[in-house]
Amino acid sequence: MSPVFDENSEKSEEWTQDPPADPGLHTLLQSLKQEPPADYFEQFWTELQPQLTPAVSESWALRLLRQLKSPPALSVAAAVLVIALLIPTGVLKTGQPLLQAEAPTGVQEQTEAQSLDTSRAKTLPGGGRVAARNEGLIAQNQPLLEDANRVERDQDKAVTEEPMVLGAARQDLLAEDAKTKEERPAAPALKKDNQARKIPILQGYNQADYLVKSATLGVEVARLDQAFSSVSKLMTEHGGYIVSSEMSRPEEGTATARISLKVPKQHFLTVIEQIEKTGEVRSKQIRSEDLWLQLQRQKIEIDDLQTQVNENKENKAQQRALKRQLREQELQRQEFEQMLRMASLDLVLTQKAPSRFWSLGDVGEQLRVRLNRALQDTLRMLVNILVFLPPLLIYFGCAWLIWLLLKLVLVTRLELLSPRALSIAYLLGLLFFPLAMGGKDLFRATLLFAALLTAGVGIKTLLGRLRKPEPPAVAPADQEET
Amino acid sequence: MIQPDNNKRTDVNNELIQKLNRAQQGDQQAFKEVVKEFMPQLYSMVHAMIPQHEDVNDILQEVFVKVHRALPQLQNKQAFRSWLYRIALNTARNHLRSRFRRELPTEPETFLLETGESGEKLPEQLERAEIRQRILQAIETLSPEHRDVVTLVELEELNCAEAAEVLECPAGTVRSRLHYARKKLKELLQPYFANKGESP
Repeated sequence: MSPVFDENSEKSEEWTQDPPADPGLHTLLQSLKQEPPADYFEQFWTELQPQLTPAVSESWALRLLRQLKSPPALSVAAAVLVIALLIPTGVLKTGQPLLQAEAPTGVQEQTEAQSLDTSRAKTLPGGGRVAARNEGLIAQNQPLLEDANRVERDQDKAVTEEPMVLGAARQDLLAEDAKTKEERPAAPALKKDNQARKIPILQGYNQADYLVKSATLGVEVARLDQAFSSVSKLMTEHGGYIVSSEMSRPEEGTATARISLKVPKQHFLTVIEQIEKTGEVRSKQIRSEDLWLQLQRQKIEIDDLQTQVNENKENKAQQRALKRQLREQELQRQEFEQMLRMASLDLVLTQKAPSRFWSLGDVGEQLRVRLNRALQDTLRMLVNILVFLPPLLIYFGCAWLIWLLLKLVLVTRLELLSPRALSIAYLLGLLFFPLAMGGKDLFRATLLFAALLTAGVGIKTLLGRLRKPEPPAVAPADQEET
Repeated sequence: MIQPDNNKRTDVNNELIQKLNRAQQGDQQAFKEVVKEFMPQLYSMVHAMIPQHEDVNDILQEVFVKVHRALPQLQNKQAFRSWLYRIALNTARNHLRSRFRRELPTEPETFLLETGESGEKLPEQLERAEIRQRILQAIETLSPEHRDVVTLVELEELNCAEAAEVLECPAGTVRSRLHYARKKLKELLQPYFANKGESP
């Protein structure tokens, strides 16, 4: 009879059939078998019976849960229930920036997104302080606001019923302006409930409309000519234009181009991003300035001038002078409006010094830039992984160890809980604990862990169910004979 | 050639499943019948691992208490046998482990001479006890995994697939372990083969 297995192999998958039985050894080992004594069972049962506690009758809810059969299904249902319960409490609200009260560090950037309005500030951590500051500024600048009110009334403009929106940058401007107007008496501080009535001029005010944007960007490029032409192309694409350009190419040293650009405000950030891609960014500054106050002041001036022109119809010389002033003011107003439409961008392009070690021309330079960028991206990713991996590993490891410990104590040793009940309770605990301790990231990590755990248990259950039925039992001796 | 009687097996399984159903609903008599059916097999298996009768009794009590508690949660009644063996094996292992912790250093070598009513003469009894002791010692030298496989396959006469189900490992692993365990046992018990031939 040829061997049906390789007896020298230790790989379990190569043992496809039971090894042939050894009758001698089998008989020898069978001599160890010991039948219980004749009257043993009755005695055994007498001892056993008091230890058998009656099975706990199951409630209909437990029977219903049992019908689900699958722990993953229960876990998922529990997770969904928890999320459904938590959403109304506001813990899981998304899309609302939580911590933007402080200006970002690093790149100096101030945009409308970073300005907090009063109503939002009140909802933020520490928002009470911001709101109180804003309220103080409003009270301090009340005369100025009343001036603006007057202009609005004169022009009989419709006042909308929208709530006031007042930005932090705007408040700073108001504060500065109030300091300069010393001739005006300081207004008494207003009570909070009176403020809405006193400042209707600010209704419908949208800060983004009055922001003048400008930026300074220093980029090191491989080829200055190419970069310049790509900037020109960008301007054509986005409706901007080059105000001025200056290029210097010294015999020794780096070639530099200084370009002043005007870009439509809505394409401002896109253009910056595009320019950044042409090389390596060396410096970057983005600024915003609120022109609302200047515009309002100018509006008042123009109105006053018009009134004076109308009143001085007899005195032609004075009227001409007034009209000239009026035209100047209007020109300035147009300039302001132009500034509001178009953002300024001062660009400094520097050509990279040629490498000493290789000179493969454009291809080599592009390759070097790309490699450099890829290396930077990889390093950034690596740093992210290194930063986030240890806490995640610790968290998952601890969670897994605690699970094993609880299972050992509560299920195996004390037999207080079934594994299914423990797994549900544990998953719920895993959801609740980080939610109570931390923020959104922990919540996501917990959900991920719960999902992985659930998927693992689910796959195991499915595999268990799909496992083929075992073949009819054949004793090793029988198989040997066949 | 021995063929398994599949019809009989199915009848037995159906009967067992009915008993288990009744036991799950709290029928003590049905549970008693189940205990009666499986107790001798478990006794034999546990006795091979732990020869002391008192210990075997304690272990079996513990096993059936566990079975009674966990029976309402048993879904796949076809796998009852392997489930029961698994509980017994684990309980016996735990017992051995705790006894090992309690009783270091090991006991001196003594022959387990059991006075039965077999009518054997003392020399025969001594010889049988000696052989038994040597076999137990040989089994003791095996690793726990090999020992479990030998107990289930050689003593309880489960096939490799059933043993794999009890031990919760692939059947190929059981076959491999069985092969090497047999090989080692044959080496250790070689004198008995030499003296008594193939059927000692």
